[in-house]
Amino acid sequence: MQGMLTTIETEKLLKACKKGSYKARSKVYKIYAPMLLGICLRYTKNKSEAEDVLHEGFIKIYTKIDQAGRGSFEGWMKKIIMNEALQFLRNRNISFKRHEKYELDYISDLASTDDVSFEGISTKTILDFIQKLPEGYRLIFNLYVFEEYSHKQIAELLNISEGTSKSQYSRAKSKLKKSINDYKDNKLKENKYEGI
Amino acid sequence: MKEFDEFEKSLKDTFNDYSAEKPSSKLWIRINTSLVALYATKSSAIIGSVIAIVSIIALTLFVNSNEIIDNNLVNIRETELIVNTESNNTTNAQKKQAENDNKTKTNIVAITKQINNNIESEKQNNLKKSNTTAFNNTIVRNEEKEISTSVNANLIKTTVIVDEVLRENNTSSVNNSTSELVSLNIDNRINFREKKPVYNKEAELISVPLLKHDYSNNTKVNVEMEPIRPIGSKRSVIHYNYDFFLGGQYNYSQIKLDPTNSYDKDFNKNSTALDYNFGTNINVYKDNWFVRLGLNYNKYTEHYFYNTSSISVDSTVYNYTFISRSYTQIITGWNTNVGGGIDSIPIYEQSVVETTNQNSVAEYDTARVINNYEYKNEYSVINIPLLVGREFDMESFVFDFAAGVSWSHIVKCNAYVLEPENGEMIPMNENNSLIKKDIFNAVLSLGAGYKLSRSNIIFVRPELYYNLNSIIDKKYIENHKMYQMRFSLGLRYTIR
Repeated sequence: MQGMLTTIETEKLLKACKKGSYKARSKVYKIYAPMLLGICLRYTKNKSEAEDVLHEGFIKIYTKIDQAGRGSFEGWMKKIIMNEALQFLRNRNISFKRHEKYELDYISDLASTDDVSFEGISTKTILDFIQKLPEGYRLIFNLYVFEEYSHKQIAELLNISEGTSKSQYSRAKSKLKKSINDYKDNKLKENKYEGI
Repeated sequence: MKEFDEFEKSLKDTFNDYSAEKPSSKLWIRINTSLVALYATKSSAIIGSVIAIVSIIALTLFVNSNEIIDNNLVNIRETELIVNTESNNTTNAQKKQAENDNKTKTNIVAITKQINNNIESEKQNNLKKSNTTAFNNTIVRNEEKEISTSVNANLIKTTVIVDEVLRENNTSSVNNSTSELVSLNIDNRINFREKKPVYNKEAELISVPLLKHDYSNNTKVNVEMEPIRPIGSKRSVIHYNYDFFLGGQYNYSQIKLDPTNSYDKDFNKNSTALDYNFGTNINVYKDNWFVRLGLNYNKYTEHYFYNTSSISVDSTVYNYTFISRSYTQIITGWNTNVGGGIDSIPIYEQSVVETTNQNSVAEYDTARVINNYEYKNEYSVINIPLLVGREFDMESFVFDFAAGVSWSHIVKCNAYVLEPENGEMIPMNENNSLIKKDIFNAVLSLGAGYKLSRSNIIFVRPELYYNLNSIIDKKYIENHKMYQMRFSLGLRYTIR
């Protein structure tokens, strides 16, 4: 997305935004909204929730636009959206303990830890699987893989133990792998039937 | 640096530049609305401005969305194409006939082909750009400029036949067809501005084929033409523009006291003053009619003179007594031989009667005291006018007139009102119940503009604001009205 604008163009756009230009704000939205929505979708379970997060995120972006510019504008916006997503999930009072109990029911999933390839699977399908993860799993998974937080940082951020973070991440990963493998198996079966 | 396994790396790569589909169109409106609400809490003055901006945005979106779903336009373009094809067939036939007859009916095919190509490209443009109405409007508005062509020929004199074919809307029947012979010099430019196509409101001009005929030697002439634009439909189109203006105003205020009020004669009942105003309007057009919704700020002052007079009298009363004395003398005898002489002296008896009268007199010292008051009332007013008007184009000039109403809200005032019982001036402010914050005006507007470019017009606009209701409670002043004669200079920007 950033590729669509050069650094100079981005700076110009940011400057215009800071001056309160409606046109510039609209342009920022047009350019970056799909990419930021992609991030929101990873944290939430459907598009409606993702748009709620994106809404709050853009409000924050526009009201705090004066603080942007010290680094990458895109990175700054991503950070805001991530924080908004986190806040959104916090407001829903995710209970990690409950998920720990939940995990026990799916402990057998841990067996499916073989590496999987994403060949033949669209990003949209993988996103659907991420969205289907329980909220706690999804949040920790996002923070660990995409935001590159360590388990210690996640534990501090979410006020949980490091062990909980590790176990939930592990289970999230297993569950995701299983979903992908199941999907591929089903696809294979379908193809076989079609071949017959 | 964290170490990721293959699965995690693949996952990160997959989502690295992932962009979801576009968010729903309502989200942008939601964001804007939230921002408006956020900013609006800062001050009441900002609230008015922002609501107007949001209205303009909403109106813009509304107009845009109307334009996007306007399938009729595309249909019309398609119909044009079909009819042009028919026209093409006809001209082909004409050409064949012309060749058979060894006459010089020239390159009709080439010309009509160009027209068709042009329509094709216009149509594609139409489909590509969602701004279809603006496009259509562009064609309508620029027909006079665009429908021109140059003819390059190796002949001294050429003749061009201009055909204009009119067709009823959504029918294939040709309603009207005219031809005209025009003589040209080499590289002469036919300007249809001088030869306005025949129009009727219900019809569309579907093509303007040109036939070139050299009567001098009866030979075929190769004509190279610049693309000819088809004329757009004469159908009603909605478009809009914004204008921004700044100007001065002449204020005339009138105060009417109760006729029984003893101060009536002492009060200067008229006031004149000069002030300023500035603001913005959005004008939505259909044909040459328009609706104008605006937001402007103006400063309004009035200047009054008022005097009171009183007479004071000091009086002094002086009392005094008149005394009257009456004397009575009676000769009672004579004294003889007084001193041995012979003379005699009369002897008198005298009585005095004294009378007194009390009286008084007053003296007056009169003083007349006159107090002169001069006071200035100041109001800061936000106006939202809603006008309906009509616009006329004349060459590079644009004229319009409009009439409507305006709602005015007094956001700040520093003013006084006469208290009729004892003639004192009572201060008013915006929180005071004495003053009505909302007033209504009838508005008349005239405008004259000059086209700087296709999108920009500079204009002057005299306007009359006629106050419909008194701004002060009737128990203090029977009537208080404010009239404004504005003269604004501004710039209008048309969205295309």
